[in-house]
Amino acid sequence: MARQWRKALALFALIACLAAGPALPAVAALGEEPRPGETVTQYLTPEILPVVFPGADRIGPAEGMPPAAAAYRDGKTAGYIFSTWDVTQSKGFSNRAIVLLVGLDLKGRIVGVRLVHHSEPIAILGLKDDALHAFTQHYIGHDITTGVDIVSELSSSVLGAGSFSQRSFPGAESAAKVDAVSRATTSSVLMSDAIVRGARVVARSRGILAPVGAGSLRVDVDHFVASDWASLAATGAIARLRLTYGDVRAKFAESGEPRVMIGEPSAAPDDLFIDLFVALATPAGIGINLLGETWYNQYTAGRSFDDQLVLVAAAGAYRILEGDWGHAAALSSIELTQAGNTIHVAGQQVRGLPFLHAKKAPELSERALIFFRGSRELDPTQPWQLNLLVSGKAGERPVFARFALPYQLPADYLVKADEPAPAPSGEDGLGWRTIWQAHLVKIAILIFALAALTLIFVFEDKLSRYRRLHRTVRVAFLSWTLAWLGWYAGAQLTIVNLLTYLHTLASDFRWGYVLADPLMLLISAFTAIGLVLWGRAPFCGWLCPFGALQEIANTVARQLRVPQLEIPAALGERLTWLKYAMCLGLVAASFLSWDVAMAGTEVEPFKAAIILRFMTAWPMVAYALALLAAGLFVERFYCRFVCPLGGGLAILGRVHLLKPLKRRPECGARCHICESVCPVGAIKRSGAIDYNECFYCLDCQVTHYDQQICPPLVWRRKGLDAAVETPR
Amino acid sequence: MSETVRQISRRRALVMLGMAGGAAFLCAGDRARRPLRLYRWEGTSLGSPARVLLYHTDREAAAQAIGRCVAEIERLERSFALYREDSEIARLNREGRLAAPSQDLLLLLSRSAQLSGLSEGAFDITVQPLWTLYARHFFAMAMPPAEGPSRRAIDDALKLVSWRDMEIGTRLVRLARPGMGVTLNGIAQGYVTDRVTEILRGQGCERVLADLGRSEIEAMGAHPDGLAWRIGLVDPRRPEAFARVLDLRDGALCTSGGYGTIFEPSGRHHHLFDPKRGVSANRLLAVSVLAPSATVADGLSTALYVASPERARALIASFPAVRALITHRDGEMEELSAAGGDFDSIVKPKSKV
Repeated sequence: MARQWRKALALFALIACLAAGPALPAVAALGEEPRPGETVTQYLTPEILPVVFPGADRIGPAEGMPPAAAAYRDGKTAGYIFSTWDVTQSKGFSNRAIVLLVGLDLKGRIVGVRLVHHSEPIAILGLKDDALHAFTQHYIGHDITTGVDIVSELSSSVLGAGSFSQRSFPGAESAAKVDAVSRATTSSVLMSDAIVRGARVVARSRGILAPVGAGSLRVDVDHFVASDWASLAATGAIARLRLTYGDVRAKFAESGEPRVMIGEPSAAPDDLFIDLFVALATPAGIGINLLGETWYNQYTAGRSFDDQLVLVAAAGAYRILEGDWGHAAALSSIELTQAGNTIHVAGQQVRGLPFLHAKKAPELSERALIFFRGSRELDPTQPWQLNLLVSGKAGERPVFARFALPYQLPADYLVKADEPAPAPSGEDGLGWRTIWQAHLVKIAILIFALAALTLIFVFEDKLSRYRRLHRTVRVAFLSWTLAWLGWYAGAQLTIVNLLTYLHTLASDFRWGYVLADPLMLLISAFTAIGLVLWGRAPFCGWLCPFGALQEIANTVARQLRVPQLEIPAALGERLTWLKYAMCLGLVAASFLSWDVAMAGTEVEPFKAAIILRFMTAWPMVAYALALLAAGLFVERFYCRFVCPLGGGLAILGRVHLLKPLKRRPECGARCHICESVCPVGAIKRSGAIDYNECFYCLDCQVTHYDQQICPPLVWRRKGLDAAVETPR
Repeated sequence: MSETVRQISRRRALVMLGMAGGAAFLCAGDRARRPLRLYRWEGTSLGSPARVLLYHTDREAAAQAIGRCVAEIERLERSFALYREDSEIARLNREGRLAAPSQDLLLLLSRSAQLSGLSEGAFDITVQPLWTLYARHFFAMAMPPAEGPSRRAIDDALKLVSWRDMEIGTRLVRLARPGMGVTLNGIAQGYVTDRVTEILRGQGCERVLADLGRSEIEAMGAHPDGLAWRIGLVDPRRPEAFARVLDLRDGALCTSGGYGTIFEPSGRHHHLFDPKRGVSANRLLAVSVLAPSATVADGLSTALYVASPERARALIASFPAVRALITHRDGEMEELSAAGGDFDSIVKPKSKV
């Protein structure tokens, strides 16, 4: 039995060997491929060293990225030796590795090249191995920097032996002194690329070639001088490209496409095709003038000095912005180029803008901001250009024409980058500590106020026992909220913040963005904690400046005996749903189109009434005043029925943990006094408090503890307890 | 501007001071005249040797202008270089699709499609499967049969050659079938040449000769003495001699010929494929094209080399500003152009970009 098994096994092994036989060389060939990163040391023998780096007396280890070995002469670094396989992994015609060792001196000149490994079909190409080696020798002395030589004697030196162009032509006719030679393309491509590109990469990594964008300047994000559109355009801060249909058709005709369909076929040659504007919005001197301070701050918040904002705006027949899923709008016809880089603009880098705040801006139909991260994407100190690709159709065939709009930031908007950027932290490199330090007093005041508010919420039952104290505290706090928090500090939480948080959570959450505005962060955090404990009230009832404005206005109105409108409970309840619809509508819209959502958020009067302190365009002021006027007759009209932020907070705060507002068994049964005391109709007929609508003004609690007013207490005091206990 | 002002005032100062010294005067005079000097840069473009000659008064400015060209060449290599695994074209070939293509790639692809249409497929950038087939046949075998790949293998590769089966869109470029591949080696060097001269023109250079890849040559202006740039056309039968020497002022010259890159010693199999038959085109020895742009010269020389005589004539008719010089197999040279006229020189003002 065992013997039979052994026989079978031996037979199987024999068959396997026979079958694998032809495959073995192939496996070996595959295994031949050198391991990248190790070839310098592998091939750099003492015999090869003088060929690759003449004059070098010592070689360091291969190190760094890409790997290269330093070559020393008299104890000093003279240059580097690298293997092309380690750097570019270039392959030959055979699609197998070619390995060349290259010596590069500190001036960026190639001092030696040696082909150490290849699998090229030399015999077939009609070359001898020597010829291949000789070819590499052409590169000795080659300068990989962009230096130029002076040519003294044109023809002979151009065609000299060391040049790439051609050999001299002894047998040619006498007129053979030529500037260049045209012949069919030869494919010596692969080795050239390995040598030259490899050398460039090594030179950059070793500081021989200046790395792209290593400037000593940065964009000035602090200095601001008010300036209108025309003067920004005059300095070159805004660049412009104006194209008529005639211009575009001519461009297509130039590339042999005289019949191209673009835009409106019947347009006259003088009709405007596109009027395109571009500006770097990162400098405060440009960005604030174009976007307005609030939006400039919002868009630059939490970004480092290296992150850039580019504004693109246009008018005319050709659309550059396309609506897209998510909050971004695509700019697929736009691309930036700078030095050796093509900078593709991805959808998530783009944000459409509903309006600009620039003074005397031309009529624009499209506006968008492009966000770039780090100077590796866009170096603002160096010239760049925006390329507009116009797509058309020649019959069914797509055809393209490109127009370039060069941009160079005027030097006025640059400052020396000597002083280190403020406290970079983590990958965002933002200066949030500096911001917090600069706003220390404000932060302290806000924290104090929030602490006080916490005490009010915790000890509301104690506070409510003292009617006059409660009134004083309430009015004082609301006045502070309106005057200091709103008008002075401009810290008004809006639905935009809520949407932005939602979207940054969904896409790229960055602490930098959040940390850059300490007051808003504190308020948001307090609101969030408040939501969990008490619902929407801590913010809506106490920290919303517009809410405070309404309540104070209404208080004054009552003092002046302005009649208050009673809204029937049934109607009131229906109306409260409006704000939920607003909120959900905006959230949904923001995921479909950020532009539409932003336009929708104009329903909030906060910008006009609080942030801009009524100093803005009259329709917005009129709208805010109209809402306030309504609030004179119906307390907190806006908060209760319109406010999408309030709606959102109510939804988020539905499951709050505490319901501390006291009720009595009589409430809603025999007694309905609180229903009329509640200024916002948040107490139902049943006596239950609707926490979605409650602002924690505590008026009902003051009544609750008032021996003189709370009917059940009055009844008890008068010995009518028994009657109270009796159900209806 | 301010430079000129300073020089004039300096000169005036010298006059007022009288003869302050011969050496100083000579120096100032020399600077004031600012002679044009010829500068040369040598490097590589798309892996081939590249050279730019330009006249300039200032070495720094010349070097800066060249610096921009080199950056542009590097940028375009990242789109067009087949030999770079990270290039757009390599990614397109590997994955059969390329999202968010660069504008340069779109421009060149649509330009190629235009040429394919006009040449009825004689120019076709989707011939890459044929190159792969031939390279594998001749380079990967120790003793490849000299007659080339089998007819069946060629027919299989030809099924993947079809410029119409490439979708070109701003968001996506797609090859319709797996195995298809694109090569821009017949036109990209011309495009790069155009970009380089465009940049130099934008930098204020007026006298330029750009010679990229030894075959695409583009000229602007002439030598300061008024003589045109002189270009030698290699004789395809005797590569050490010139067939012609011609004057080039504003325009581009490109030569295509099967002798450029051969697969085997006889030269019968080379890199210029007939996309219809799947074998190397061998009707002609070489085609040189003079055109206002190097992209056109490059693409058209490839197309004319492959096309039938009738197609070649029709093709040239649709390019009024173009002249071609065709070298037949017997060494006979034929000039072809829509407008007639000499091949010897081309002077055509280029429109501003």
